[in-house]
Parts: sequence; structure tokens; C-alpha cells
Amino acid sequence: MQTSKYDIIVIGGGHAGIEAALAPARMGYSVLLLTLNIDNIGQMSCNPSIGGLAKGHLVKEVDVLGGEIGLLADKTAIQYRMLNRSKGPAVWSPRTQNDRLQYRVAAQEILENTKNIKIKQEEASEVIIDDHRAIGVKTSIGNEYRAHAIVLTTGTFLNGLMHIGLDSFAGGRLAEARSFSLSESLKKCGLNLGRLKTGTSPRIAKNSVDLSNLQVHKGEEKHFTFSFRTNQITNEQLPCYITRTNKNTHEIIQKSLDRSPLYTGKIIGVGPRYCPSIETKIVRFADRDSHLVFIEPEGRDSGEFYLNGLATSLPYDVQLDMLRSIEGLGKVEITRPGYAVEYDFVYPVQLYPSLETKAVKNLFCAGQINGTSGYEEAAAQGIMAGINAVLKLRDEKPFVLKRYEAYIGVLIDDLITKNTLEPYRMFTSLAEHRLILRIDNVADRLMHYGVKYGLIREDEWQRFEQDRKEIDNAIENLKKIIVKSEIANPILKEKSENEIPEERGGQSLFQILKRPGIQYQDIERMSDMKFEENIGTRVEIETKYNGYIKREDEMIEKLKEIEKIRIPANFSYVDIKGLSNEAKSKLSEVKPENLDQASRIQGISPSDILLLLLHIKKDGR
Amino acid sequence: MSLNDTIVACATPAGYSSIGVIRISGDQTLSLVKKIFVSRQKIQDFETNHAYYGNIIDPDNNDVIDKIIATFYLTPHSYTGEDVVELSCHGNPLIIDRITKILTGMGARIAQRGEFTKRALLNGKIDLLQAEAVLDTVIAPCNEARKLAITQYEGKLSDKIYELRSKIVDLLSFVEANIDFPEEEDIQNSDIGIEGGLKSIIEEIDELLKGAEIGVKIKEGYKVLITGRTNVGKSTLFNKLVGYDRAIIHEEPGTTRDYIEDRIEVSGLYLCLFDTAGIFNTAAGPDKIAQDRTISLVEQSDLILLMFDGSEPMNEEDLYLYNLTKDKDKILIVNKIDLNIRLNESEILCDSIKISAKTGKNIDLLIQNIKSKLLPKFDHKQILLTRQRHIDALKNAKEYFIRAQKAYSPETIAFELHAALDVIGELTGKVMRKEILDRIFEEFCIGK
Repeated sequence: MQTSKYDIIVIGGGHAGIEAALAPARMGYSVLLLTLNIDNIGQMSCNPSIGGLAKGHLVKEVDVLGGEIGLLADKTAIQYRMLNRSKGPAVWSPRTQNDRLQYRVAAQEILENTKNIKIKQEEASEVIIDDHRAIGVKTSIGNEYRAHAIVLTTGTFLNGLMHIGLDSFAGGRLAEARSFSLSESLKKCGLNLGRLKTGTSPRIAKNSVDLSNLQVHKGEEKHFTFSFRTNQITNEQLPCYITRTNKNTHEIIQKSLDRSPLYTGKIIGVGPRYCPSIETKIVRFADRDSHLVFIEPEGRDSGEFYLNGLATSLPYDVQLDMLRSIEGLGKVEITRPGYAVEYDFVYPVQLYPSLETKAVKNLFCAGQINGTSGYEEAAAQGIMAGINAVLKLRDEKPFVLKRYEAYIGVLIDDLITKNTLEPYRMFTSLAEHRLILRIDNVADRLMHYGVKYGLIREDEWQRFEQDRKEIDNAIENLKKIIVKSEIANPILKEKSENEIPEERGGQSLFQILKRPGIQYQDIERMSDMKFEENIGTRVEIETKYNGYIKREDEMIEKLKEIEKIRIPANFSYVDIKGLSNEAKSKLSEVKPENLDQASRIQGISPSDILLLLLHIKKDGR
Repeated sequence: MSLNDTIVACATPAGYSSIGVIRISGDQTLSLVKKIFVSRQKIQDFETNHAYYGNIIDPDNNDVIDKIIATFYLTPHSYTGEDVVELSCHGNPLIIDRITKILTGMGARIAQRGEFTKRALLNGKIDLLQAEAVLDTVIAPCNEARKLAITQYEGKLSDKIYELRSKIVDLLSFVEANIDFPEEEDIQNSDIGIEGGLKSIIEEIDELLKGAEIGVKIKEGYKVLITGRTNVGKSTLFNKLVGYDRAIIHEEPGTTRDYIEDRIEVSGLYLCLFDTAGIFNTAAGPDKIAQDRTISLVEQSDLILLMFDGSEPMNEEDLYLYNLTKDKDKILIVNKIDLNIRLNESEILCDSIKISAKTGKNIDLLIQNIKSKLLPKFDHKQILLTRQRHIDALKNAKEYFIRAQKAYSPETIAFELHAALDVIGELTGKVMRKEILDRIFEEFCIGK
């Protein structure tokens, strides 16, 4: 039996595992990464794409904390889109299509070349516990590894069960083994596991598709980068294509529901409402006679396409029939069928905000094991768990982000206060303070943490500070410079903005830029000010949103007052008679740290909070 | 203060009365009552919403204190949502105090002001608007105010606010969907009608606010001012309306110097009636000060009763007062019609009411006129708001909707709608802010 000691063991090499391994290694700690298959580290299990609504924010946040996902996405992008451009800068959402193979290769390369990381292809079968503390991992080939902290990032592999039609078989991804005994080991540790379901679409042979009549869905000409560390890229973009299901497709699916594991009760795990399978769409929205299908390249050199919008677990023959009924896919060949996978997850209310489990000290969970879905959500938890594992072994205060600081804060707070009933996905509408959680100010919000934990280099920080100074100076100048009405008015008129009355003489550039129709380029035309694009954009946003930002700040100040009302760690909810049994059990389970967090726990009513407040005050006296 | 203990309070006024009611609420209610109430039934057989006859005894010496009716309201079928028993005893303070002492001696606590209602609110039996209405029902000074309070207690205002809230939520969910699902054709193709939605919500709030002014007046009372030159009989009319000899009446001009105020219910309305010093040209010294006060009262009043002396021709002072009150709601009164009429029928007086304050002739007609002037052709069902708190909240909400109309982008529209939702939530207590609650509960008297 082989025994060796590491600072931190990470189990799983997916998007959470990558960040959970890299952060501690970069902070100078030895890391062992255990994976079922080294070749599949960094695998994109579902759509070959990074970012999108709120997910783009997460990528950028992880990036300024010193994470890797942004860099990997930049390196492997094959198409760029900024979603929601017309809906306001706080919800601008960068998304790329990515090369699935290249992404994996890039991820493996970085892990293999990072000092302090050892990678081993072994199945973790048991977490070794000593006095409610995780101290190591046993693997299925009998090896034992010791560590100060363990991070579980098992994705869909915990007791994974795959479904294609009524056939089911053990596995975490198509043609990949699952991890069974680890699940049992976690239950023995006292963790409560639930079951979720997710699914993916069939992949098809590129050369079997007739693209000639399909709508081409091109990327935007302009490239952007997720990572502030990526230099401007100009790689060639690949288009996606759009086709649609039709009545015939729907009939084929309708007729085969008796062989659907979803509709015969075979699948018990709960799937995501925001990402339904095609069979679910057809059952739930029976009145629609067509659904969009995006045909996305799997990669630059790949011979396969991914079919976005057609996740399914119908039998293979039905999948083929249904595809062949769709325009452009008449002669299609399936390369890999769609499938559903059910897997165990740890109810995340069993975690502290640091992502450490309450039941077992020094055991952390990140990613899909916490009931989330998405590469970006996984990466965000991965880096937080990695940093917190280090802080734990250093005996330092955990790194917890507030809801008004980051989407990561919203994500983790939601997980630990509400037991997710479906795979949790980040949405911008989940963020109360959305207007200040923008991508343009992500470095303002979070980069200092990256510096603090040693994940951002000094020169990177200097660069940021220099930008910040430039923006502040520019805004100062905008306020100072008054532009004469005869200069401003022609441009205002051109932009359909109200002209400045002659008798007023002029207006400050700041007030002019606040107007909806005016952009920083117009300011350049009215004055001597010149902006670089990234600075100009940020100056414009901060000027226009000045009023909103102030209002948000006021709200946050109020919130901080409630946060100050801390609930003692050993507070006994059972003794508060007025609380409902549901409230008592929820509060005892979550153990909120302050009144604000308590108020967000599902099933906790305002009157429960008032009761709590009265009791906390009484105890405090 | 703990919210779990059992509270007790006398629900009827102090002093001797035929019945005095002691109310007990909390977890210990039944076990306490069991020790002092002896009836033919066993306590475990008592059903909710049933009344039982029996003796109240002192558990120390089995001394019978009173023969009473005990009414049981078991959780959750009670006002507070807890176990509640009401002991209807004979209304002798000796009896009431003794029973209360025995109960507190066994561990109950004297309830604080408004505590029963506070518990009803905390236990989700009523919302904040209804809790306020309970208070208003208890202290309503006039019939119209009582009607409003009961409507609100029944939840009419709450319903309206929830309806408004759900409209905002609908609109917001449209906006949010549009932001978070930019590639879903279902959402992108749907007409989200933000502009129309905002407009219709603003109109609804305006409608509510229109009734609010009247609601507050009904509750707080209308300021009605009697004015006229000296010796037209203002104090005589004042006394007639308040129903007793409140003001001194004398033929000497200027008998009323400082204004006199009294609160009365007239035909279902609550009025603060003012009798003021008469106006005459040569006023000086204290008379001048008194007249200045009258003039400033004119500014603040909701209705002016401007009196003329029917037994004398109109003079300069009459015209001065007529002009002074030109822009105010007023009723013109020609008094002393029991005497010889020497007042010329000028155009000014064509819709005046002719009365005799002394004999009471046409006073009823005057009262009808006062009521119809104060309560204009308004659909009473639309008067729902009765408190400044309600008005402030809705005005704030409206401000957010107006900002939403001018907002830059969907995300800023959403920001304003969320802000509006918070304000509306505070109205019903759905979003609790401790300070609001504390302020509200300070207003409550003991019992309901």
C-alpha cells in the first residue's frame, strides 16, 4: 500500500477540480488531483461553450481572482458573442463557442505544468475520517493518501446512472466509469445525499449534414477576452447554424414517450427547468409546433456537430428518426447519442459559506456535487473551495464573498441557504445588486482578493490600478469641463437629445454623457478628451449609472446593518417557542451567521426573523 | 420581552360595568384556566369557539370568586392564532383584579399595549394593514371612519395592494425573462408591453391616492371654520352644532375673542369645528391679534361656514370676508331669519342657506350641506387609504414607476420595479422593517 502526504487532495478533474487544484498550488501548497481518467480532465460534458447570461460574469470574476477558466476559454474560442448588448451594461453577457478538444488539452497542459500539482488516475473510494475530520482518501486500488484538506469535485460521477431509452447503465459520462463507493463513504460521514438529473444532446457527423438551406449564425466580428491576462486575439471564427423541429419531429417524440425514461418514471432525479429535454418541451408546450435547434461546431478540426436544444434520453432509434425529420438533417448520422444522467449530490445547506461541510471538518465540496450545473458555476466554487482549503489549513478566516460583491457570492449564498431542488444555474435576476455586479467593474470588485491570496501578480495589480486612476481622472475632468452649447448642440441634435438652451451657455461633459443617447465617442467630438476603448466604455458606464450606483450603495449600507446582527454559532433555535417546526429545522440545519442570511433561508418568514431578532437581543444582554 | 409567554389583560374599560372581559392568550392558557375555572365539563372536552358556564375559584383556598362564562378559542382558530380564553365576569374591578392577579401569580404576564394584535400579526392571522385597521376600528371617531376601518380590516385594502403587487411581479418577471433568456424565441417574441404595464400601474396608484386625501380626513377629522363679521351669531351656531353651551353668547360685539374648538360627529363625519372672533374694521390690540388668528385658520380649514346677518344689510366687512375666503370651499349662511329680513338678495347670496341658529330652523339642511361639501361625489368603495404611511409608500412607489418609464434599459427598469416592490411590501408588512413595526405597535391600546 502506497501512502503519501499532501496539503490538499482534489477529487475530480472537471471545471471545479481544475480551479480547486490550481489555486492552492499557486499559493504554494502541494496538491494531489485524483481523477478517473487523466485524458478527460477539463472535459466539456455538454455544450461546447463558455459564458452567457450571468455565467460570463462568473468567468470574469474567477479570472480576476486568479482562476483559469477565462484563460482556457480565450485560448480555445471559435466564436464570440456579447449577448444582451441592448439591455444595459450590467447584463452584457460574453459567450464563446469553444473547441472541445483544445479546451481539454489546454486544461491538462496547465495542470501538468503547474508546480506543486501531482495528478493520479485512481478512483477515490473512501474519505478517511478521524474524529469528524477528513484526513485522507483511499483509492480503489488500495492506495491511501493523507492530506490536511480534501475538496470533492465529483461532478456527475457520484453513483452516476446513464439513461438512453429504457436502457440504463452505470457511468458518469458516456463511456466513462462512475464512482460508486465514494458515495457510500460520504453517507457514512453523515452527509445527506440527493439525486439530480441532467442530460445532453446527440452529437452528429459533420459530413452528414446538409447546411445549404440553413440559417447561418455567425459570431460578432469583434473579439473580446474573458481574461484580463489574455492579449487581444484575432483567431478565425466558425459559424453555427440554425434549424427547427417540426410537427413531424414532435409526432415521432410523442409516439415514443412510452420508451422515455423521463416519462415512464425510470428517472427519479430532478432535472433543470431552464434546460429541458426536447421531450419535456414537447409535452409541456404541446401547442408549439416548432422549436429552435442550434447546430454548433465541436471544434476547429472536429468532424462532429453539437445540437443545442435537443437534449434527450429517448431510445437511439427515436433519436435518429427525430433528427432525420429536421431540415438539413435528413441523412444525418449520430456519432454519439444524447443521454440523461442521474447522480448523487450533497444537499448544499450542509455546507458553510466556505464550502466546507458542517459534518466533516476539512472536507470541501465544489461544483455539481453541490447541486449546480454549468462549467462556470463549477469553476467559481472550485476556486473558492481551493482558497478556503488553504485558509483552513493555515487556520485563517474563510474567504466568503457577499451577495453585493460578486455573482460568486450570490451563487454560494443561494446554495447554502436554499436547498436546491433542481440543478442550480446562475441567472442575473438572482442578484439583488445586479447594477453594481457588472463585468466592466469586476476588477474593482474582486481583484484585491486575488492579490491578497497571492493569485494575482504585482504587475497585474499595477496595471489595474493604473486603469482605475485613468478612469477616475477622466470622470473628474468630465465634471470640470463645461462645453459651450454651440459646440454641443449640433451633436446632441444628431443623437436626438434635447439641446442645451442658449441662455444656459453650456453644460458639463459629465451631464452630457449621462444622457442615454450620448456615447464617449461623442464626448471626444465635443472636447479635447480622448479615450482608449476599454477606458472610454467604463467611463461612460460609470457616468451613466452614477445615480443607480449611489442608490445601490445606500441599500448595501442598510444591509450591512442587518448583517451586523450576528447569530451566535451555538444558538439554539429549538428553544424559541414561537418558531414553526419547519423554521426551527431549517435554521438549525443552515446555521445562518447573521440575520440577513437567516432572512433568505427558504421557508423563513419575516415574523420568524422578528422572533429571532428579539431572542438574539435578549441573549446578547 | 418574550413572545412565547402567556399574556393576560382586561379587555373592557376599567370601573364598574355589568360585564368585564379578561382575555388570556399563549401556550399556557389552557393549563392556567384549568386551575381556576370549574365547570361541569372537563377542560379537555372544551371545544373551540364554544362558551361554557362555571365558577372561577381561587386555587389556594377554593374560594368562589365569580360565576362566569368562559369562551374558548383554540389554536389556530383564535384572534392571535394561539390558545385564547375569554373570561366574561361581572364587571367589578375587585373581581377582575383578583382573577388577573391569580393568573399572573401562576406565570401569566400582563399584556403590553397592542400585544394581542401583535401576536395575530406575527402568527400570520392578519397582515400589517389589517393590524392598523384593528386599531382604527377601536378608536374610530365617527361612523364614516368606522366604515373605512372595517373595510380595511376585512382585507379590502390588503387585497388591492396584493393585486397591485402581483401586477408588478408580473411585469418584473417579463423584464427579467427578457434579460436572462435572450435567445429564447418564446420570450423574445412575446410582447412584453412594459410601457402599457407601467402606465396602468401608475393610473391605479393615482386612483388610490385620489381617495387617500379623503380617507385621511375622514379619520383625522375635517377642519370646519365658522366665520363672519361680529354679532352674526357664530357662537350661537357653534353651540347649536356641538349640542351644548360651549361658547359664551352675548349681544356685545366681540364676545368671542380667542377661537374655540370642539370635535363633533355630524351625520357620520368627524369635524373639528372652530368658532372664531368676528371681523370688524377698527380692530386693534388683542382684537387685532384675534382677527389675525382667524385669518390664518381660514388658510388651514377644509370648509368655511361664512355667516351673514339676515336682519341687517350687507356691509364692507361682509364683503371683505367674502373676498378673504374666495378660493376656499365654503357654505354661505344667512342667519337670523326669525327676525325681519333686511339683507338684500345680492347675487353673492343666491345659493346661501337660510337658517336661524337661535331657533334651529334649517340646521338639518345645513348639516346635509356640510356633509355633501366635504364628501363630494366620490365612490366610497375607492377610499381605501387612511394613513400617511400608506400615502407615503404609494407615492414612493409611483416615483419608482415614473423613473422606470424614463429608465435607460431593461436592467434599470427592473431596478426601479424591485425598488417599488420593496416599498409595496413594506405596506403589507411582507417586507418587515423593524422600525415600522415598532412605531405601529406603539399606537395600539391594550386588547385589540
